Amino acid sequence: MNLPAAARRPNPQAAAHITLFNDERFQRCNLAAGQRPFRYDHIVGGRLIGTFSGVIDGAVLDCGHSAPFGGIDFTRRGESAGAIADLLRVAALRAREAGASELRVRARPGYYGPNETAVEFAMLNLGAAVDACELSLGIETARFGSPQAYEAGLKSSGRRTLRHGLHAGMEFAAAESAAEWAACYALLDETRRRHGARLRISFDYVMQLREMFGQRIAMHRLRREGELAGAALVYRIARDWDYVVAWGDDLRHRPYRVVNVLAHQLVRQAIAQRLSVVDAGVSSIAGVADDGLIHFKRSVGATTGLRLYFRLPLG
Amino acid sequence: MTEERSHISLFNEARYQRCNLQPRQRLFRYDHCAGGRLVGTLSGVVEDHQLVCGHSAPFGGIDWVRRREPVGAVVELIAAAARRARAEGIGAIVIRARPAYFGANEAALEFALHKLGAVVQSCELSLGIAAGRYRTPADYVAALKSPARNRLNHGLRAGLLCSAAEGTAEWAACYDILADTKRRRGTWLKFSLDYLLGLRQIFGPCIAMHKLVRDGEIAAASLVYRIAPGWDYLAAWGDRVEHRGNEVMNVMAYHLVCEAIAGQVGVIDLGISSVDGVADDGLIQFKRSIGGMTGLRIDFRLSLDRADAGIGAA
Repeated sequence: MNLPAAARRPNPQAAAHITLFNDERFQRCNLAAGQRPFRYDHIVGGRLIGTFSGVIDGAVLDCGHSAPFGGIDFTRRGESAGAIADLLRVAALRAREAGASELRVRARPGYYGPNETAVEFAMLNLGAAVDACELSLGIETARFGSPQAYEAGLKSSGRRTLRHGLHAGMEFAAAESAAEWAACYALLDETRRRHGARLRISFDYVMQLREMFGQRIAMHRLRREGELAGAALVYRIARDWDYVVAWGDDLRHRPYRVVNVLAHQLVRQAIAQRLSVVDAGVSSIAGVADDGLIHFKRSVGATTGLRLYFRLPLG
Repeated sequence: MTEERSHISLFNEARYQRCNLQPRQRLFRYDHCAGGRLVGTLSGVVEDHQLVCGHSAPFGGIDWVRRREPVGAVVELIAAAARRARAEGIGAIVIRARPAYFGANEAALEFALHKLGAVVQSCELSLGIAAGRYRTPADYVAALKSPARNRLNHGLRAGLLCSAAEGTAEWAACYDILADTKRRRGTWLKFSLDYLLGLRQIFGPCIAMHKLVRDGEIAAASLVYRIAPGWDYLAAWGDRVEHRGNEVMNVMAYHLVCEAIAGQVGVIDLGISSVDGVADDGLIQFKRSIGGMTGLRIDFRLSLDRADAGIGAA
């Protein structure tokens, strides 16, 4: 059926389910010459099931391009596995029509919900190979009805560590001014350097995202006795999902368990705002696990998941 | 050594595997110790230079002493087991892994297998109830969505009595219901009553048959294996069509959860809901409605012949 161009455009409501990393505005921030966005909305019986978004670069369609991950964006959280398989099958056909000969999907970990497991099921049964796999941990905040329930769910050592930190009386607040953002960014960068790595995003880039997406790009800080003790850069990637891009502490305040308190505050906030997941990010690099980091994230209540990168030749 | 025996799950037990062992098949077991501590065990059956973990079982998986092992230790166990297997002339290992809802070690195992170059041979959808998340049956009921809660309450009012099948006659009657349920779905029970009673004799109450009785008649049955101290596996369940109006399967699920909570069982595996990679959405919807979490049952194949197998030298 031939529709006028305006009718083929997704309506604004249909865009509400698109996650930050699949948002065309986010992708355009990182688009290089020769790359173009791709979007397929899967509609069955007049109902929008979900959307496959990505960037076409040469013969490859990459879902999760220049982002930690992409994943398929669904309008419902418990979509039927059959509908998910159909979505991916048709998206693959559309991708081939758009000139792609290979599909890459940087999928979300399973703790984001049953749709993610169904995506893995569908991709594997479509014949996709797992190109890479990293360990990722996230806190399923929907499981906790209150901050007390979260604390009660921690192991006793994690609870003791947290209480010790809470006694230090640190103040949790959002960074507001450019100077506060810059100080927090410097702290995050310093934390990365201590781990022999570096922040992959510049300060200017973060501020550009902040301008574009407003409060969905948030910097939280912990202050102790007037000093910046810890910071966390958090993206609201969907209505009820937070992604911790980076967090860190100032070594001088480490005895006060700054990152434990930071995790606690992020969870408190998530529970108050009825978020279902706080993604604490990967804990392996190039397939090598960082057991210290995993242990820490588990101690603050995180569930172990996998970030799988699928590759599907389109024949 | 009590510790070594106790961490082995039912499907990896030598006694279980011997029930199904054919000529030309032999048992394999590798216990991984690090720093003087037993970390876990890879067990399986070898045939034609292939080791299958989860042989003649729904799945196998690695048996860990601790429920949250460091990921590095998980990788080391697989690599060391693979080296041992290769030294024994084995060319490939197939691991029928447990779904991720069995705990953090399962995700770590999948990570380790991908890292070592394993490929996915098959993948089925599987659902399980994380019973450990509920302190009381009331917590479980409260967590259900309202349609499922309404169905359960409707069923609970029907006066169904839940108890364990006791004598051989009761087991046989329950078995018939399970077999009939499978037939209605165009399939069949893969094991005989004799096989089942043989397992029961070997493993005692770890092989349990539950029945729901209404007006003196068995309305539904479920066969449940206690595969590990905190894990139940629902091998089969079914109902008599004439009692379906009383939501007997919702009531059965409720009783299994009550039993799990009382027995400190953390997971009730409800089994797979896809066949040959094709999802059964009706079954999935039902299992989700009673609190099932979605997971995957993946069969991995790790070739030991490849020069680039990332397991290191023997």
